[in-house]
Amino acid sequence: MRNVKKILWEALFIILIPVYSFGSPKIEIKEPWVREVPPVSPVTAVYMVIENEGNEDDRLIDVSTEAASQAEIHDTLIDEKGIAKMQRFESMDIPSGKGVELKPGGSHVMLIGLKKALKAGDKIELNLKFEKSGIIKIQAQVK
Amino acid sequence: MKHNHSATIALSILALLGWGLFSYQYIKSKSKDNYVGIPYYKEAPNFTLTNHNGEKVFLYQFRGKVTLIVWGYTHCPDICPLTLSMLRDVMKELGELSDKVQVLYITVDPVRDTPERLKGYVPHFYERFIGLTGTPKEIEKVAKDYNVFFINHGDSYGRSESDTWATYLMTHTTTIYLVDPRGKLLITYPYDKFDSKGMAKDIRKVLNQQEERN
Repeated sequence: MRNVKKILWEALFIILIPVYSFGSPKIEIKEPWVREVPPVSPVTAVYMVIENEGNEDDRLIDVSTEAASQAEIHDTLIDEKGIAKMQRFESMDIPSGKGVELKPGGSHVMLIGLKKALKAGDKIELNLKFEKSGIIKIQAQVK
Repeated sequence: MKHNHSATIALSILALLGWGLFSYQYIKSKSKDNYVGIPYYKEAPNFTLTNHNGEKVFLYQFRGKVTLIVWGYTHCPDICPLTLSMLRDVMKELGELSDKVQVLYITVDPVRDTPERLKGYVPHFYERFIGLTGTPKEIEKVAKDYNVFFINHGDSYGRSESDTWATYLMTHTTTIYLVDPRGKLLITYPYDKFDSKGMAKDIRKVLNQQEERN
């Protein structure tokens, strides 16, 4: 009887090891959207909420899309004098248990060299590449 | 008995404080200078620039209206479309009164922002918005007069020369300036005061004051 109990405990232990010691990020993209800009503008921005409900941090390391020749991770910084400066980042940390919000006047994905004018209602596809979670395909609506 | 006396004094002080606070809030709410934006009372420096139809315009010709002056450029992906969209919401918020408001969008990137380019950009947000450009010297002078800062951000954040897109970013002041119908630079709206409902409320107040004066 003792042996059976011991085996059961060991089995439980073995089952639980992967759950507790090998964590992983769990990335979810919410509410992605692209700002409609006048047709003469070759640039626009994509916004979204990136959630990570896993138990390990992750990093957004690359963005690509067929809609533009380049996509970059940017942040708009506005100082106390109201001066806005854009900064480019090679990657963006997505800490576990927290979401990162890409929103107007803050972090965003800048699309450079739009291949065609984007109208409200259009949808574009983006590939978000994460260090650990790999590529996640999303569709963002223009509005 | 002594105890009662202290209680009465304490209550009286509290009542006085309460009354004081109420009066202060009341006067503050009635004050003409109580705006959502930041009061900035001075004469608005005049300027002459070229509008998006290629015509010369000067600030004083908009007297009688509330003029909102904004700064930006058409290659701007985030803050400029945000600002112009917010101003479109201000116009919608104002309804018929929007006829008494003129938005002037002055480019900080006159080399790329020709009148034609501005014509394809500024009225897209709202038909009556006017885009203004000029020679780099003219733009520099207006910016200086309005204490507006701008600089070509260039490739200072690591863009390599082999990149194919011939574009660069600008760092610039995002503050919106409100010039009243008499030509006074009355209120400024730094980014943290961007609120279409609040701005519409201020504009109504400014227009009402103008009517009272007439």
